[in-house]
This record gives sequence, C-alpha cells and structure tokens, in this order.
Amino acid sequence: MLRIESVNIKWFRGIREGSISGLTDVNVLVGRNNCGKTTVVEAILRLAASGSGEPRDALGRNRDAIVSTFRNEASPIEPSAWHQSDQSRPIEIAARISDEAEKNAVVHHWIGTVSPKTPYEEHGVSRDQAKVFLKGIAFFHPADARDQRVERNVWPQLLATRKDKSLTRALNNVFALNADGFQLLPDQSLMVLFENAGVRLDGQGDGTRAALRALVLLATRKSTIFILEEPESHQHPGSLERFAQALCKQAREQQVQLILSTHSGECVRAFLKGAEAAQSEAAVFHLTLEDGKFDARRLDAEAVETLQGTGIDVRALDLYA
Amino acid sequence: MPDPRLIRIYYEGDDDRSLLQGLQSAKLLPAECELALRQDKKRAGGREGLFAELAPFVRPENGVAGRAIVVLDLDDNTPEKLAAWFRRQLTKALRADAASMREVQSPRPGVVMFSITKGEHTGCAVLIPLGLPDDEELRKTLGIERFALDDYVLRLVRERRVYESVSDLRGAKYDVAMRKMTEVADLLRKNGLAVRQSKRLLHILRATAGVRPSSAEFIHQLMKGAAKVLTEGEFRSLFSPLADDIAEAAKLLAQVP
Repeated sequence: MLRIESVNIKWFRGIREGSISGLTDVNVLVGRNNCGKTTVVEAILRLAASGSGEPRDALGRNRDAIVSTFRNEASPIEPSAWHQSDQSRPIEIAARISDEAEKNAVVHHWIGTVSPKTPYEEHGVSRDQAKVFLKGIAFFHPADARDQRVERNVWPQLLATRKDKSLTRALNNVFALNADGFQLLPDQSLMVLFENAGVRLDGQGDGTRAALRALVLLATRKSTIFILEEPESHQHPGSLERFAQALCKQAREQQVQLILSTHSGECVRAFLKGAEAAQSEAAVFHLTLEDGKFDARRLDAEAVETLQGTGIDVRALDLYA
Repeated sequence: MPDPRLIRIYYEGDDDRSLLQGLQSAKLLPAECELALRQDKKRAGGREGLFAELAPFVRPENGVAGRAIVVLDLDDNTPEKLAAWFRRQLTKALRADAASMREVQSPRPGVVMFSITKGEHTGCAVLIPLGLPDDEELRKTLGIERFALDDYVLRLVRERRVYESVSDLRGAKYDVAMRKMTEVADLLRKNGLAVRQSKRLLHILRATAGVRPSSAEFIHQLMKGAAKVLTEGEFRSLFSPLADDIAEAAKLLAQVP
C-alpha cells in the first residue's frame, strides 16, 4: 500500500519551517487555531496538483486554489502564500511517499521559485506509481455536504464498480435507515430509494448529505489519500461514530490513507475506534506553530487512550510541553 | 514571565490523591501543578499501572514530552534504593526511549529528576519519596519502620484540633483514641504481630473511633478539617518536607527548556 509518510514544509503560509512525519493509515490532526492544520492540508493538495500533473480534483476544482478560495484570495500564488509574504525564498513542500515494501521514495515539489535541485527523485516507488497516487488525492470540506458535483462527477464511476450497494449498506448502518438504493435522476439529483418512495438526497438532513457525499467520494478512490476537514460537522455524536467506522472500513478496503483535521474530542475518539474496528493503524498529530516553527507531535492510538484515561485532552498538549 | 506549562503529579492510589488534593486546596502545591487522574484499577492498578500511565506523558516520542512529579511511598527503602528502583521501572516503561535518560540529583534528599530527550523535546519526571523517616517520634514512640504517605496522615490525626474537627471521629474522644491506638499496637507487638507502618496505627484508630468511610474519604475529611483549624504555617509545617520537596521539584522542572 502506498502512503504519504511525511511532509516537510518551508516558507509556506504561517510555516517558516517544519514537518509532519509518521503518517499512517488513519491520521487525525489536532491543535489550536492557526497551528497549521489547514496549511498541511493545502500543502498536500498543492503537492497533488504539481506531482500528478493533474491540476483538478474529482469535483473539478483547481487543487492549488481550493484552500486559497477559503482564504478569499484571488489567486493561489498571491504573496500571502509565502511565509510573511516574503517571496525572496522559494516555498518548498517535500513529501515522502512509500509503500510497505520500499520505504524510501521521495517526491519534492516547489511552488514559486524553481529550485535548482531535481524536483523529483525516485527511490523505489516509480514516478508513475507516485503520480497515480497523487492524482487520486481527494478532499472533503464541510461545505461539500451540499455540493452536488460529488455525485454528478463520480456517479458513473461508482456504478461501474457497483459500489452503490456497499454505500447503501453503509448509509443504512450510519443513520439506521432502510434504504434500498440510490438513483441519479436525469436532472443529476441523487435520490435515496426506499421501499415505497424515493427522497432526494438534498431533502435529507445535512448529516446524511455530508456522510453520503464523503462516502461516495471515497468509494471512487483507490490507493491514494482522502482528506477530510472537520468530519464531525453536521453529525450527531452517535452517527459520527458509525460514520467514522464506515469511512475507516472503506478506506482500509480501498487502501486509502485518511487524513482529517478536527477540533472535536468526539471525532478523535470516533476515528480511533473506527480505525481499530477496521484493523488499521491510527495516530493523532498535535500541531503547534510558534514564530513560524511548525511541529507535529505524533501519538499512536494506545498512547492517546492512556493519556485520555489520565485526564489529558490530546487536543491541548501544548498545556504541558 | 512564569512558565505557562503545567506539571502533572502522578501518585499510587486514592489515599495519595486525597492528600494531594488537600494540599492543593490549601495552596501548598505550586500553581502550575495538576493531579493526574488514575485509570481504572483493574486495567492499571498500583505502581505498575502508574508507570504505564506515566510513560506516554514523559516520552518525547509518541508522547507528550511533559513534566511530571511522581510521589512514591518510601516503604523500607533508602531514598537511593527507591531512586534505583524507579529508574529501572521507568526504563522498562520507556523501552528504547530510555537510552537518553539522564539523572539530576536535587539538593533535597531523595528528590531526583529523570529527563529523556529526543531531538528538540525533553520529558522529565521528578521522584519524591513519601514518608517521614527522619521523624524521631514516629520511629521511637510509635515504632514505625516502613515509611509512607500514611506518616503524614498519622501526624495530621494526632493533632488534637484536627482530630476534633472531623465528625466521623466523634465516636471516641481524642485522648482515649490516642491511648487506645498505642495500647493496641503494643498488645499486637507483644503477641508477635508487627506494627511497623503508620497505616496499621491508622486502622486501629479508625476501628477505635468507628470510622466507616474509606481511607481516602477519611483523609479528605482530615485535610478539610486541618484547613479550617490550622494556620497556614501550621499546615505547612505538618507537611514538611513533602510540600517543600514538591516546590523544589517544580523549580527543577522549570529549568527544563
């Protein structure tokens, strides 16, 4: 299974220098506001664009611009992308991609000033493998819960692999529904089919729409990364746990690495539990950013459980160190 | 500017927690100290469980790289023996991370800091032995040879004003309770039964006065009573050297970058 193992970032957004390493199957990013969670996500998305040669994601969005748009920037290469808007140095985003057998593949990419070094180094994972891996990277934001492009862009692909069946089971399980299946109508709206009636997906609550659209998007991924920002949005704690289990199970089956950022303790617990149920490895990364120095402290699931048992909230490790 | 990082205090059981909570309420613990919760005893009981809980807090990798104070009963060890045992247990719990472990001896007897560094991160644990081996009265008058947290509890309950402030002790007058405690202990000794720990004297006292709540609750009541009837100086003096050891440990930890 290919996976991104670490990301080094220099001179990008609030990060002057720092790295996150030890990324595994299920990765939960936590930390205070402005600690670099979204910057890490943006770095991976930009890497996906430049490393795969495919600037657009499954929803047709420009990967370089997804986070820029959230930041209300007109262009993804505005000076604010550089640390302290200082464009005299190149932004550097370097990631290590590995597979279980060969753990030494490195992909380097620069945004802005081109580095004199070779921008792409290969050691064990072929350029094509890495490209496919990066090309498949998908991102799901809470606002995507209402975005019909999810089903419009990926439904045919999903039908071709009959993933609609497992999606129906997952949805029924997460929300205790009794749906028979789905149908994409000619007007491109997705219907949830019950025994005697069909209900438009967008007629359902936001929690259902968010969970189903995230699962739809994940269902079309294979051997890549699925990034979710605040997956707890719109979810009741009970359904969040089942949603996390469904995501972890599906990700495991499709060899997809999950990276999610959250401020919710319930979300941390739900995904650690989901990963355990799916027999996946999970880690929580506590991020800090001080004077541009970025640090990601990695804790495995066992350490998180022990710390939480003794009254430590892993979202607030900066209180102690 | 004061160090904003919190220091966690780890301990063995509910009795220790009650006593430490009392010290915290009386402001005898530094403000940056917080008490760790202990997990379910079935999963992580006693001293072994304590190290399993401490390791991810102090470990610089796959841990918090936090700063901890660990209070442990001295029992019949010397402070040096206890520190050696602590080092072995911490090494076992930290596994490979223990390779970088360093020790710093404080000027206060038995107070030792263990630090573990990996890259830019350093986690630390300061060991404080619990007990009053230098208390002549405990040794000579009461025959105590194994030292522990209960030494402080015994010291507390033997303070008349504290004793009389606890409603659960009203079953026996102070003078009677103290006399019976020593008489029964002597009787036990005459019959070849060892009374070497303050805990056993406290059992006798609790039986004499008919105290029903758990020992943790009993300690809580004593600490609460003490806070009402003792002056700040008297309170501090009863908990010497523990309160001073904890203050010293916090000072040592403040020097860790």
